[in-house]
Amino acid sequence: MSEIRVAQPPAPAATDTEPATRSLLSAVELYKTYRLGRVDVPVLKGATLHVKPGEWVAVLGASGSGKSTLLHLFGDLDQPDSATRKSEHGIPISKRTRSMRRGMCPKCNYPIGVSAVCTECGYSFGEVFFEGKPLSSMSRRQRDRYRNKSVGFVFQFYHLLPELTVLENTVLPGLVGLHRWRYYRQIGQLRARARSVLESCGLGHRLNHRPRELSGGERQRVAIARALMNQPKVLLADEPTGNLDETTGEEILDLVAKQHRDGLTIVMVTHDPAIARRADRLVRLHDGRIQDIQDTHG
Amino acid sequence: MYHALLSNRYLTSRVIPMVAVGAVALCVALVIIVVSVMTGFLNMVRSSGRTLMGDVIVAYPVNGIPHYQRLIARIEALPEAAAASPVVDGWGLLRMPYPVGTRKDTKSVQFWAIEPASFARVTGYDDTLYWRPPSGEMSEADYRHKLPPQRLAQALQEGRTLRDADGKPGIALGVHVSIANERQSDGSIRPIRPSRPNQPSPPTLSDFWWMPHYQVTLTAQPTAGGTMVTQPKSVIFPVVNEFFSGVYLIDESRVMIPLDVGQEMLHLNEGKRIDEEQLDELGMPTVIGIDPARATMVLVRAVEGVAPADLRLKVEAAYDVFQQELFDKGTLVPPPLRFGGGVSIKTWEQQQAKFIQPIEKERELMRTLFSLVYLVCAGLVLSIFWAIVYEKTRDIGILRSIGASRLGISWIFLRYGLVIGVGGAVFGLGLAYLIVRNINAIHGAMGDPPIGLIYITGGLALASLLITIVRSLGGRLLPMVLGVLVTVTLVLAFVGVVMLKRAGGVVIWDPSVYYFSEIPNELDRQAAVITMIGAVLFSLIGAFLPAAKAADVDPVKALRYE
Repeated sequence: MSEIRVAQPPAPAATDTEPATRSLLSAVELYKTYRLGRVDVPVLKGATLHVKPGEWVAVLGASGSGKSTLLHLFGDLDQPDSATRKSEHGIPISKRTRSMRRGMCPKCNYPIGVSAVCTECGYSFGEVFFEGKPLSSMSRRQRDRYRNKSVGFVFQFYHLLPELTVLENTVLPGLVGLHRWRYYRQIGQLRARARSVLESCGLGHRLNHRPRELSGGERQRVAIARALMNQPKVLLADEPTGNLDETTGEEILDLVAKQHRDGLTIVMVTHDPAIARRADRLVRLHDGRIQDIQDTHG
Repeated sequence: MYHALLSNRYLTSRVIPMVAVGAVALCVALVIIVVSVMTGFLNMVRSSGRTLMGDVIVAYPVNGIPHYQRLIARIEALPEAAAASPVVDGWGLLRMPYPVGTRKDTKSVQFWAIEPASFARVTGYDDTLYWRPPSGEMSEADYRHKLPPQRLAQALQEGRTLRDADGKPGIALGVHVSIANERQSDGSIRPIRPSRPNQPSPPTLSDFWWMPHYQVTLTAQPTAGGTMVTQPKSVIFPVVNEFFSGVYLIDESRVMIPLDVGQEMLHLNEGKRIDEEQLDELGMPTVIGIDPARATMVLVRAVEGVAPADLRLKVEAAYDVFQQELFDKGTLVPPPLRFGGGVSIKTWEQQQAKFIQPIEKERELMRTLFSLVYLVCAGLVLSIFWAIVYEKTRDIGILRSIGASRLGISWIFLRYGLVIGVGGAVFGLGLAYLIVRNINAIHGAMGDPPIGLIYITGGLALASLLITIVRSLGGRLLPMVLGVLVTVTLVLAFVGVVMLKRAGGVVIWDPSVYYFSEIPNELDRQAAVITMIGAVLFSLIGAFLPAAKAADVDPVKALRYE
C-alpha cells in the first residue's frame, strides 16, 4: 500500500481560471444548497477541483459531505446554484449566460474567455468546465451530447434497465447518440462495439441475459461497459464498489484501473480510503469544500 | 431510436399496456358498432322506400286515378323519368293452406295489384323474389340448395309474371306472411315441416309448408263504386313465389297479384257507365259511356342522377297537364284535381319522413353520447401512463445520465401512447367488424342459445374451479383471488346461458318493432375511420401529461428514487 502524501495546497480562487483552461474537467467555486422542507442545507460551499487528462482522482468524504453532488455537477445531471438561481450577485441568470457565451464578465464586461473568475473586478461564479468550456454556456443539445459522449457514469446501485438485456443495456448510450437516419447503417457497428466492450469486461457469455439474472459484480460490469460504450473522455464513478463484497469490489476496481491504464480519466467518489488509494490523486471533501489534496503515488 | 426499443419493451413486459389496448379496443368497437348499426338502419329505411316505391308516388287512394295509362305515358315521356307503373292497393283476407285439416288460418293482408314488368322497372321487385336457383352468395345451409333447381327456376319465372305455368293469375307473398317460413341464423328462410303421422322418408316437397307448392284464397271488399252495396270477392291463387324486401312490416303483410285481377276485385276495372233514368226498349238502363280502369297509385322512377324532389315537380306539372287535357276534352270521367281532389304526389323520402327523421336524430344523439367514450380512452391512457412514469422514474434518471434529451424521454411515452391508441383502434376495428358482420348470427344465438354453449361455459367454470383449488394450495393470495374472480364470471356466464335457454332466448331486435327482419350488418366506414382517429388522438392526449411529467423528472432525484 503506497503512502499518502500531502500535496501542495490549492491555489487561491482568483487564480483558478488558468487550471480550468488546462484541465480536462474542472469545478470552480461550486455552491450547491438543497432545500429540505423549510430548511436550506448547503452541501457545496465553493468546491474547486481540477482533473487533468488521464488522471484518476478519488474524492473521499463522509456520508452527506456532497461527494455525489459534486459528481452530478461534473456530469451535468445537476447544476450549481449559480446556474439555477434566478440571479447571482444581483445579475440575472439570463444576462450571465449571454455574457458567458460571449466570453465576457457579466458584471464589468471585461473579456474573461472561458474563466469563471474575472481578473478585472474579481467577480466569480460557480462553474463546471469541460476542456476549458463552461457547461452553462452550452446549449441543451450540447449538454445532452456531453452526457452522452464525453462522460460515462457508473453508479453504486448499477442502475441498469431491467427490461433490456445486457447487450441492449450496453448499446443504449450508442442508440441515444444515434441519429434516426443513420440507425440502419450504424446499428451493426454499435452492437459489435457493445459486444467487444462486454467481452473486455468479462461478460461475453451474458449478452442476452437480463440484469435480474446477474450477480451484483456482473451488474456493475455491465454498468461499466455501458459507461464505456461511447468511449467517453471521463468516467464518473459514484461508489462503484459500495454495494459489493470485497473480492468483487477488487475485481471491479481492477477493471476500472485497466481502463485508466488505457488512458481514461476517472473521477471516483468513495468513502473508503482503501479504495481511494488505487487512484492517482485523492481529494477530500469536507464542509462543502475540497480541503486537502493528496497525491497517492508521490 | 432508443425510443422504439424502450417503448416496445415497456409495452411487452407487462400486462397493464395490454389492458389499455384492450380497453381502447372495446371503446372503439362500441362506437363503431353502435354508429354502424344506426347508419345501416337509416340506410335501410331510406333504400327500402326507394326499392319498394320508386322515387315519386302519385296516389289517389280508394277511388283510383282514371286514364292512368295516359298519365303513365305522359310521365314516361319526361326526360327525368325512367319508368312508371300502376298499382292498385287494397286490404283483404288471405286463407292460408295450413294447418292440416279443414280449419285453415286466415290472415289480414295488404295486396298490391301490379303490372309485374313495369313494376320491376320502377322498383327492385325482381330482385326481391326469394325462391330462385341457388347462387354462390347463398350459404351452404340455405334451404334453396335442397330444392330442385328447375322448380326454383319455374318459381322465379312465375313470380316475375305473376302467372303460373298454365297462365293462371298467381300470387306472390311476402316471406313472413306465412308463419311456416322460419328465418335461420344466416338470414335465409326455411319452411317448417308440419308434424304428420306416418311421414315418408325422405320427405317430399309437399311435406313442407313451402308456399309455392300451395294455393291461397284472397278475399277483398270493393269500396269503389259509389253508394252501391258490394259483395266481398274471393279469388283462389296459386302461390307463384314469395318476396323478401327486408322490411318486416311489408314482408309480413303484403302480397302481390296481377293488376287486372286486383282491379276487378275492387271494381276498378274498365266498365260501362249507365244512366238508370234512361231505359232502352228492353227496359234496361242506357249505356252512356265507358268507365275507365283505375289505379290507386302510379309509382315513378327517376333516371340516374335526377333528384326525386326534381322529378316530383316535373310529375306534378305532367299531372296538371294530363288532368287539364282530359277535362277540356269533356271526358266522362275526368281525373281528379291535384289540389282539393285528394291526389297526392310525394317523393319516397316524404312518404317515409315519419320513419327517417327520428332515426336521423337518434343516430346523431347516439354518436354524441358514445363519443364520450373517447374521454374514457384519454383518462385510461393517462392514468396508466401516470403509473408507468411513476414506476419508471429511475429509468428516466438513467436515460438522462446517458444523454437522453427531455424531448427524447417524452417521446418514449408519447410513442407508447401512440402504439396503445393505434393498437386499440386496429383491434377495435377488427372486433367491430366481426361483431357487425355477424350481428344477426349473434342475435340469433341469443334468441336460441346452442346447447353446446351450456357445455362449454359449464366445462370452463368447472375447470377454472379446479385450477383455483389446486393453485390455492400454495397459499398465495393473488392466484386464489384471480381464480375466484374468473370462476365466478364463468359460473355467471353458465347460469346466464342456462336461464336464457330456459326462457327461450331473448329477442332484442324484434322485427315487428324495427320494421326490418335483419339487423344492419354493414360497417360504417366513415364512422370507423373517424372513431379510430379519435381513439388515437385521445390516447395521445392522455399520454401528453405523463410524457411532460417524465421530461421534467429531475435526474438526480430520479437516480436516488427507489
